[in-house]
Formats: sequence, C-alpha cells, structure tokens
Amino acid sequence: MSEWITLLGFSDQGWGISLLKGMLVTLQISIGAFIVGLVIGVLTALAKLHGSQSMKVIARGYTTVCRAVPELLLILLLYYSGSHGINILLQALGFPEVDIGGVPVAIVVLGLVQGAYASEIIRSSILAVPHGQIEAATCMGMTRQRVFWRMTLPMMAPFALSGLANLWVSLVKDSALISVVGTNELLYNAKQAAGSTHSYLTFFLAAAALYYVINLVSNAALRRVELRFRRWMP
Amino acid sequence: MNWVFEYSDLLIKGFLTTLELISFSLVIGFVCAIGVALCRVSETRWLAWPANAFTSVIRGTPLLVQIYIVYFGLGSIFAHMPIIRSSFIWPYLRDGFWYMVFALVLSFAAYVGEVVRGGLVGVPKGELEAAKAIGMSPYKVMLRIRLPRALYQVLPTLAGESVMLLKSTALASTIAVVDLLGAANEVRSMTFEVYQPLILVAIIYIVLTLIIEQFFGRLERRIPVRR
Amino acid sequence: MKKFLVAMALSFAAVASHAADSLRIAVLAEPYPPFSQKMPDGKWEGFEIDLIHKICTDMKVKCQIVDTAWDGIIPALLSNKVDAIFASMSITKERAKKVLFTHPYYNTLPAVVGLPGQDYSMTKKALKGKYIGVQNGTTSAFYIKKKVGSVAHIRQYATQDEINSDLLAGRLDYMLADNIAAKAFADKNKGAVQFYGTVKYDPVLGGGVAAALRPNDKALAARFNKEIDQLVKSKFYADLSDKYFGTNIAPTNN
Repeated sequence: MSEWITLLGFSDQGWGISLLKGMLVTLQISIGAFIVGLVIGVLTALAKLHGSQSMKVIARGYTTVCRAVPELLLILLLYYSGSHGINILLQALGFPEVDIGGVPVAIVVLGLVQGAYASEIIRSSILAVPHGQIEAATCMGMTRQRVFWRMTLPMMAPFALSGLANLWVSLVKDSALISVVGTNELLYNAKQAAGSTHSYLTFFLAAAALYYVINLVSNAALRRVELRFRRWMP
Repeated sequence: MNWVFEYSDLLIKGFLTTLELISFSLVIGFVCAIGVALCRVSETRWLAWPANAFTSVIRGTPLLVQIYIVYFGLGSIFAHMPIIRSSFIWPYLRDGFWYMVFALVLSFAAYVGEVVRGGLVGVPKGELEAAKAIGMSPYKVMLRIRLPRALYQVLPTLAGESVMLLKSTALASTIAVVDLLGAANEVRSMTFEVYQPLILVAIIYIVLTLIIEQFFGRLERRIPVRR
Repeated sequence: MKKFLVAMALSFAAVASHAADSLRIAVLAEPYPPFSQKMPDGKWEGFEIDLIHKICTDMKVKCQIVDTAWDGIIPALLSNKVDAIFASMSITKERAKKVLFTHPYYNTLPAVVGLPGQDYSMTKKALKGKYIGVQNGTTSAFYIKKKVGSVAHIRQYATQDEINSDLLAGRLDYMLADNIAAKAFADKNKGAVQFYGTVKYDPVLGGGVAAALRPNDKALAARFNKEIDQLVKSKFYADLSDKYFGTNIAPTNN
C-alpha cells in the first residue's frame, strides 16, 4: 500500500503530477478535437444535404472511410502525413513552413476521424426538424442563411445533443490512441511511468480511473445541458 | 509495390489473425452480452448491480487501457503463479492473442449488452402479459417471447457494433500480436515504406466492413417482421 | 475555403518557422536506459542525452529534445517534425536509402538476455521452439531472423520496454538487444534473468550507431561529422562512457 502511495504520489519519486499533467493534455486534445470534429461535421452534413453531386460523393466517401478504417490506423497515417500535408499546402500558397507540435496534430487527426460521426448525427438531426417550420420561415422572407442560424440550428440542437454527448465520451477514449504515436497525454505518461517502475497494473489502473472520472463528470454535466435544451420539447 | 509479394506470407498471416480475433470475440462476446443484459434487467439486486457497474466501467474507459491492464497487468500476475506456468494453458497465456480476445469480449459484452438491454425493456408489455396469461412460466416467457423479440430489434445495431469490433481488433498490434495492422507495421519497419502498407490494409479493412454490413443486411431480410 | 484552411493551419502552428540555429532532436519516447530515459519530473537523462547536450554546446546551436516513438521516428524526420535522430539507430543499407547518417557515435554488439538456467547457444538446435523477443526494425531483429528465424518463435515489439516486461513476465525465453541496454537490464534484474553474452559480428548488424538527418541536409551532416569525429576521441567521451558503462564504447573504425 505504501508503495502505491510513493509511486502515485506527488513527491520527486512519484508520478502523480506527471499523470495529472497528462490528463490535462488529454482534455486539451479532446476539447480541441471536439470543436474541429463539430466544424467538419456541420460542413460535411451540409455537403451531404445541399451540396452538388461531386460534393455529396466526397462527403459520403469521407464518412465511409472514417467509419470503416480502424482509428489507430488512421492516426498512424494522418499523424505523419498530416503535418506534411499542411506544410505543402502552406508552401503552395506562398507561406513559410511551420513547426506543428504533437498536440495540434492530434487535435486535427482526431477531429477528422470524429467529424465523420458528427456529420451523421448532425445530418439526421437537421432532417428531424419539421419541414413546415422551415417553410414558414422562408415564407416570412428570411434568407437561407438566416433560416439556418435562427431556425434549423436551435431546433436541431436537442436532437443532436445526445448523439454529440456520446461522441464526446468516445472522443475522450479515442484520445488514448494518440499515445501510440507519442504525445504526452494521460496514457502515454502512464506507459512511461509503468515502464520505468515495472508497476504496470498500478499505473494502468490509475490511468483507467482518471479516464473514468473524466467520463463520469462529463456525463453528469451533459445530462444537465440536455435537460435544459429539451425543456420546451414535449 | 514489390513488397506486397515479398511479404505476402506475413500479410496473409496477419489477415487470418484478424479474422480469428473477430470470430472468437464476436461469438463469445455475443453470448456474454446476452448474459449481461439479462442480469441488468433482472430484479435481483446482486445480479443487476455488478452488471451495471461492469457496463459503466468498460464503456467509460479506453479499450487500449483495458488491453494494457489485461495484458501487462493480469499477464504478469499469471506469470508469477507457478501453478499456471507449469500447466498446459501457459503456452496460450504467453501469447497476446487470448488476452486480446478477452479484452474484446469484455468490450463487446458491455456495448452490445447495453443494446440488448434496450431491446428487452422495449418489448411491449401486452405481449408478455399475453404469454403469461396462456400459462407460460416466467422462464419460458423470457426464452420464447422476450429475448427473441429483443434480439430481432437489436439486429440493425449489431452490424454497427460488429464493425466497431473489427476496428478494435487493430489494437492487437499494440501488444505484439501480428494482426493485419501488426503485419503492416512489420513490413513498414523492414522496407521503410511509410504509408503504402498502411493504405493497403486500410483498403482491406474497408472491404471487410462492407462484407460485414452485407452479411447483417441479409440476415435482417431473412427474419420475418410484421410491422 | 482556402483562407479558412490557412487560418486553421496558422492558428495550430506552435512556433512559426524555426531559426537555423535551433535543432529539434528526436530521442526515443519510451525509456531506454542507460541511453535515454525520462525522469518523473520530466527531465531527460542518459548517455545519449549527455552527448546531445555536449554536441549542441560545441556546435553553438540550441537543441530541443522531442520524444518520438521508435515506430514513427523516420517518418517524423522525413515529415520535418524533427531535424535529427539520436536514438541508438544503427547504420544499415536499407535505412541509408531513406535518411542521411552521420559518422557513428558509438558501436556495440547485440547481446542475449534470457530466463536463467537455459542451455544457450546461437544455434538453430539450441533455440528451436524458443520464444525470442526483439524490437521491430532493429538490427537485432534482422540478425535473429537471419540466424534462427526459421525454427524459433520470433516475437516483434514496438518498444524495447515491452520486451523487458514480457521477459520478466516469463512470456519470452530470450531477448536480443543492444549489449549495453541488455546488460543494464540484466544487472537490474539479477536472479530473474540471466545475461548470456554478446553475439558474433555479422554484416546485417550494420556499422555502428549514428545520428540520422534528412538526405538533403548535407551541410548539417558535415558539421555533425566534424563534431562527432572529435568527440569520440576526446577525454570527455571516454569519461562519460566510463561513467555509464565502465568501458569505452567509441566506434574504432573511423
């Protein structure tokens, strides 16, 4: 027992601070990827619903690939090609190359993977908005953009929310995969601690507990938000 | 692309390992999922409570962490038990394969258990009462009416869950099991081709996904449903 | 759309274009004592780390250590995430097609560590049916596959650290790894494992451990070479090597 306290503690020999720092990076990555995923999801959903034929094909292809290929494989593929690709793009546009750190790449990669799921959630909740309401808004002379911001978006939110809550939970879990390519997030730090001390069970259980705490807390918070959004619904 | 031929044995071995992983964990996991779901809807507290906790913990933590706990954590405990080390199961416990199957079964049982539970709860009460009225025992009601109805209802979700399972098998490569992704990584380390082996196996995963979806689509059409 | 992408990329860029006088050096992310290892407080320690600091000070460049997983260390270099690799990487012909090697900064042979009390020899007869762990894409892996790949169970891992843990757990009978790292591991776990000695040299083992650069960084390679050539003959190197290993592991043939 006292051995556990030393290993997980906050002293010089303990890895407690390292684990908590990792947890912070995990949260950073997850929040960033959620936002990126949401943006990509909305754009893809709009492309699927209102885009031209070729945009629809691209959007559908993107969704299919991201949903069929293991996340770990996508991460391995995108992690190294991703920053390379961004730099090629920048050079083509006449900008200097930039140094892209591990966390931002992790955010973009996870965001891309989760964007596919987000787009399906958003598409189906847009479809769930009663059509009459949209028509009524158009009749009143609202522009298409205004209809989207004032009508579609607020009305679809309650439908999308439970799906997005699930997405957040699976994002936090998927962020652990980033440890395979080496960014100082929670599981990665736990792996380093476990490897140095040979106390595998201790550190992996500790990591699991921290992930579980993140998910319990966010589940409770999301349930409150959901109740608030649903308050006008029958 | 010469490496495809040069390392075809390795890639085929990896492919077969992936198929083995998914078949074992799909079958065992599905049976366990029904067990978990039945426990969760049970009125007996000491059955329902552990099943609920199990589902919550498995669904609330990353699969990769679970795999590490099972393989590095439990695995080294086994290794320090002389009874196990000298027994006939040790050769199996040496390899990462069965640890991976175990972790996948736990995960599948939790996720699909949740879906089956939803199905069990969703069976119309009237039907259950009707079955009881014609004199079926509670056990028979469950086996003949409630469970089959629930399973029909979860069939569409099962396709999605199986695809998730297929994708999860790729994590086996993190514990030195040579599955499809593991084989690709080995090829990568020998040829220093960075992307091509990964793209090849990505295509194979897409094809496998399409096959799984086709299979469940057929199964669904074969089951008569009156709506 | 273009604007949006650029804005996104720029906002994610940590530091805009790095100056020529600072280098990002890739070391192994996983613990690889006594060459490189991260301490609980986040500081790096080890023989390679000390060498990197010495080289950078002498070359008057600022160096930033970037920990990178072995599996992705060459892609990280080629995709411009780091500028040089110092990760106990041996010079081999295959690798030299992708990266530019400097002159070697140390040279050791692989050694065998295994569960105690076995009848070991590097022959097909002795190793038949044995479980042997090696790290993916290392010269040890190439060597063992060439020697006994047809009869033994060769298990390949992403990191040396996982091999150590599986050997301690008894899942492996032997492992083959760099002599120094293997010896350090065997000494630390006396009783649980036994050191069976180094293997005989074979061309597949390559020509020593060197830093790796991008193929077009020829000027940088020249600067490194000059520095490394001086360093490996210096007293600093001999003392450092003695402190860590009790012997001088400088490459002899250059």
